[in-house]
Amino acid sequence: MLLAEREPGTPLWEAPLVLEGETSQRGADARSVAASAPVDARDMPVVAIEPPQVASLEAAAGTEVAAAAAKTAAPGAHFFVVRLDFSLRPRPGHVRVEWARLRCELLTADGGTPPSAEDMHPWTVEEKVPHHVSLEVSPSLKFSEVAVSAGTYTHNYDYETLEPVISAAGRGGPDLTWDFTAFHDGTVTGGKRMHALLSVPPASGAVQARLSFSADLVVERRFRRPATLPTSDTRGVIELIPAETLSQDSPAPAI
Amino acid sequence: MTSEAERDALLQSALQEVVSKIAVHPDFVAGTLVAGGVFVVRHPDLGPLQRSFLAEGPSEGRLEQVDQWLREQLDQARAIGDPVMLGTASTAKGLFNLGRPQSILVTRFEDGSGTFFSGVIPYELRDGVAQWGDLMAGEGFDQAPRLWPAPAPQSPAPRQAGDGDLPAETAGAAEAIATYQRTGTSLRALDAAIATLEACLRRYAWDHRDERYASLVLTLSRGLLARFRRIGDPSDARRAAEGCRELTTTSAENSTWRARAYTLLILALTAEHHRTGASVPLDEAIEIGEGRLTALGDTLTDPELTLALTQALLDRHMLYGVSADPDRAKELILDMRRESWNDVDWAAQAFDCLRQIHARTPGVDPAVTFRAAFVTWSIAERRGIGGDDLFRYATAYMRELLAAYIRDENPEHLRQALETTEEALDLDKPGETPRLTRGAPARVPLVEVWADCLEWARYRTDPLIERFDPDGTRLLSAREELVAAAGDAAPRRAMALHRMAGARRAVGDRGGALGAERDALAAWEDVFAGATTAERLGNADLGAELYQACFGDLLAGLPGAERDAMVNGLWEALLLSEAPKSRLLTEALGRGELPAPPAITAELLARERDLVQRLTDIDEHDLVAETDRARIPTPPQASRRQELRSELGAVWDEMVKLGAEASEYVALRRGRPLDRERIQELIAALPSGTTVLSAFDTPGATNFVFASPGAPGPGIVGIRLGPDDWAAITGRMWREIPLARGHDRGATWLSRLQELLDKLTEVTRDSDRVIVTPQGSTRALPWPVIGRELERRRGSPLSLVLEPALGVLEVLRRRATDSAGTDVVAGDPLGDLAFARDEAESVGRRLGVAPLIGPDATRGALAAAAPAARVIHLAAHAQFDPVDPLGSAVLLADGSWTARDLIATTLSSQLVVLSACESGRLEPLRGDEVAGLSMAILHAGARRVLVTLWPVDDRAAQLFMEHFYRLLEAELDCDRAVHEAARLVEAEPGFDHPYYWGGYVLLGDYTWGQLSPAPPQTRGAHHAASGA
Repeated sequence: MLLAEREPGTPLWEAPLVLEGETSQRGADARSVAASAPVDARDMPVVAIEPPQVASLEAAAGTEVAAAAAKTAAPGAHFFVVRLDFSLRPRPGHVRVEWARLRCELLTADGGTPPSAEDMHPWTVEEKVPHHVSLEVSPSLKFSEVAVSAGTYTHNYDYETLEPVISAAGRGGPDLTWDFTAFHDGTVTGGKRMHALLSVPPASGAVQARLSFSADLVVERRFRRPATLPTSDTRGVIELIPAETLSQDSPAPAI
Repeated sequence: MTSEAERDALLQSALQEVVSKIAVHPDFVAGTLVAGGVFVVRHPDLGPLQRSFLAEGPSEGRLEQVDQWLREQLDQARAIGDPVMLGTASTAKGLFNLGRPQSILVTRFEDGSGTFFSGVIPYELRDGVAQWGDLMAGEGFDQAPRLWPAPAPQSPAPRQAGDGDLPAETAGAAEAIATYQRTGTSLRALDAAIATLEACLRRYAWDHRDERYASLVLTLSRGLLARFRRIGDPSDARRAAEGCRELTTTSAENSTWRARAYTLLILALTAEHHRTGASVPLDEAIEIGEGRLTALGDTLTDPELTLALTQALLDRHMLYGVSADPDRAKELILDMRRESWNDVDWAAQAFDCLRQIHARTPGVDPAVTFRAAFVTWSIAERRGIGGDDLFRYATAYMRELLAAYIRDENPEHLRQALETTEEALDLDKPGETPRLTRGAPARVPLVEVWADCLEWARYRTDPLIERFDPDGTRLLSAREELVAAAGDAAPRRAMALHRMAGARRAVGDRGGALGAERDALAAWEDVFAGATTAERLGNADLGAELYQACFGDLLAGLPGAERDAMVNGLWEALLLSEAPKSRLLTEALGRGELPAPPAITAELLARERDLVQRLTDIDEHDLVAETDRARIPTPPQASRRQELRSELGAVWDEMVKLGAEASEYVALRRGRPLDRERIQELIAALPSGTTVLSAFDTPGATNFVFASPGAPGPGIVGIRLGPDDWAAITGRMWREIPLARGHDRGATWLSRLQELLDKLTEVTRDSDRVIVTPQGSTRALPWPVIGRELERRRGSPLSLVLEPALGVLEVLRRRATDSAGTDVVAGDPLGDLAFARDEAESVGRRLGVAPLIGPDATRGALAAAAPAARVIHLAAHAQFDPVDPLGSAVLLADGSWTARDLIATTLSSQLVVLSACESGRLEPLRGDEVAGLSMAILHAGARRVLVTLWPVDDRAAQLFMEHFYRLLEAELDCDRAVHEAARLVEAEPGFDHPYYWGGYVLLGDYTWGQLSPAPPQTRGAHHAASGA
């Protein structure tokens, strides 16, 4: 383990989400929110972010894969596989997690070119959503949802679309996000695991990561409130890959 | 002198000549039919005219004389409102019942030449007319042959109640309508019958309680409705509805007339909805149907009414998705099933309802409707039902077969559908008289199925296409027939041409497709020009689709084009991109206070302005009525509007003659879309350094046509992003900006737009101002944030203005002087926005007025002061209603001030600022007609409006407005002031997130002269002493 100082299974941070500071807005909803009862911290979902686990690509996937990856990057670049885990435990009550995002910003301690994500997993995970449309009998016309103009001859057509419940962004850059969206009126819950393949430029200093967690909560079935996970006074920045690892010729051990 | 025998011989000879020409020269027939036709005339002057003509023989001068005489007669007939009728053999037989016609003229008005014949022997004339009738019933008869009965020589005595039977002519007319409904082949017969019945109604003094009057009105309504279904003129449906509506109150309480009137009224209202897309008639139909059903107490008392009501309920479900409507329809159908179910007509109608219920209800096994269609057809065959009815059932089954093929891709279904339709249409026997004559109502749907089957087979490259239509000619021929069948009735014609374009596209003829789409657009524009607001909204989706298709075909043809063709194509692309955007708003603004050129006289101008105001009142009423679901249905004032429109059209025509400036003025007043000359002029007049970006979606791509003053022509950039991509981008943007409320969640939405940003950076490289007219997916983008990203890439400032359409900017820039009256400032009406209160007080100080704060900010106070206000500034709560965007409102101390209220207000403000949440969000009413608070303010007459895209932060809004007004005082243009204010807010500590500064957008005229307190003499009650 590169982060040997952290005990596996001990979260980096574990705490109930807190509502973002409410500022006054000029919408009718804002009036209702302001008038609504305050949310008790004991009703808030608890989030735990585990320490990232990092291994060299060679150790994680073998030398052949690592060699193949090396061909696609700048000479001397290092490849690492990072595993991120978090869990979200909503409390029974009136707070629903409509959407949540884990964000991992890659930084370098010396301000040099940051690493970039060559690949991320999961990229998208989708759920089937049934749809019902009226189909005008012609390939040259579009499918349209039921509100097609009346008086035309239409046929029913049931189909399913895949709507994302997990959606990642940031491939090719240093700002990685995974979004988790509740399906229908459900809530985002449970343990989530993500992987990223990082390419670290040659002669890079220590790689840091700023981890943050944000969510949109629906309170009392009506009010959407932004929330976040308070991190330590490091503002969520942790060391991900020590500088000495990058200077070593030998591969890092597997996860 | 010519003897009677010679005269008869000459008549026969003339008739033979015409008939032989008809037989030999189809073009001649078409020409004759198009231009003139058959005239059945009774008039005392005609005798001498005929005699001299026949005595002297045909000559050019004589023909001119005859034509002149005929024209005078027709003008006279029109002037006294006597029938101008169309007819064929069957009509002529009916007309002969009127009395013996004295002559028949066959002439061509097109060039004044033609053949003339006359006679007094009815059977000979009848034969002649019969020949014409056959022709009219055949191909091309829709082109307008006409039969005109001249005014009766003497007025008959007023008819009294109980005064014998109905006039003889109505019997012939009723028969003609029944024949049309049975065969559908003779539209002219239907026209003649309608005209006869109308004449009969006018001719006699009817007692409206007389059953014969009821019979006459019902028969006429039936005819009007039949014609409406054929050619789609909404005035027919409206007149049918008016007649029936009257009978529901004047006919005897329990008479069959009243019962039929109710049913026909519902059908007429539903039909009007089908044609116009307007919801008002549909709501009225349901209200009437449910009321009648409650009075009757049983669905089976009047099953026809119940079925009509069912249809209306299903249509409303189609329109609004109200789930209770199909449930109610199903309840009615099942209730009727108690009896009468075995009758094939009932089975067919019930099947139709079932199919529609199923088509709109998720999760229903499609095999149900398939079986229902098959069973109905089988029952009809077993019962020996033939003719058009059987074809109708067969068509329904063929559609189900096609639907099954589309669903399951089972080629057996397609093969069966193709074989059956081919046989039914006798397509394998060219040259023979088809069983279903062209133009027959039963034939058109079958041809549609045939064409659809061929199109799907081609689309899926099914092997059957090789057997049925290897080169696509049969598909094109079917679509051509459908275009001909649609006649001049837009939007049916527009849709038929659009489908024709699809067929041409399917066979690889892109150029032909573009031509057909252009024709379709022209037909659609014809509809739009004279239509009511409800009709425009009803057709807006079709218009958007047509413009999109035309744009797509145009773009497909551009690569590889010669330079000139490329430049022309790009200008056309810009016009196509702009034309469908916010047409109602553009027209409303065009009717605002535009300065008239001096060539227009004061008297003419006064007349025009009076008519425009009255028309605008009607349109505003209709817009509110059409979009407000909570209203009590009120019929649109279509007839009154039509009258005003005609009067106004005449005034405008008069103005156009007064020179180029007057013509330009009229073009703006008419609300016509920009043409190339006007758009070039508009762009050339923009300040140097301005780039126009006109966004337009095509399937799977978003395009920006761009243009700048001084550039040789427009250009275009596009990105491959489909609806799903845009949904993901806007979803992420919403989470990362408005919902994040200033907390950094990243900007992943922008990372998905890198390609677009790269291209726009290039396009705007030499600009310092961008005017964006968003459309479709780009409407939801936070353009100020995009602008900031472009600035970052370019390294130079770039201000940004949003316009609903370039046409709006054109009209706004030509507007008359704005109001210089008292400014109105209101803040914190509900007493919970401390910074809004501070903001209002601060703005009030700058403008030199006392703001309306807290409970003083009432609807009444604003409504009274707003119309004359130079600047209106509201710092308050607002709510946007995405379902009913015209219900979006600013919350004042005593209630909401909705977009609907604003539309009904007249403003002449230079600037309106809605410093409230989501005051700039828009949703389409239909098509590209978008609505929201900002549109309503422009509609009401403001020159420019500053609004917000999302729920804004109270403190940040105050900061923004403070900067904005200070910059306006420094005489920056409005867009520059917005841009700079946003930059200054961003620079404030803690306000760097786009949530705080990226949601403020300016719409309308971006220029700004100066901002200083209004002159003291113009100030009213709200004027405050300096420093108040």
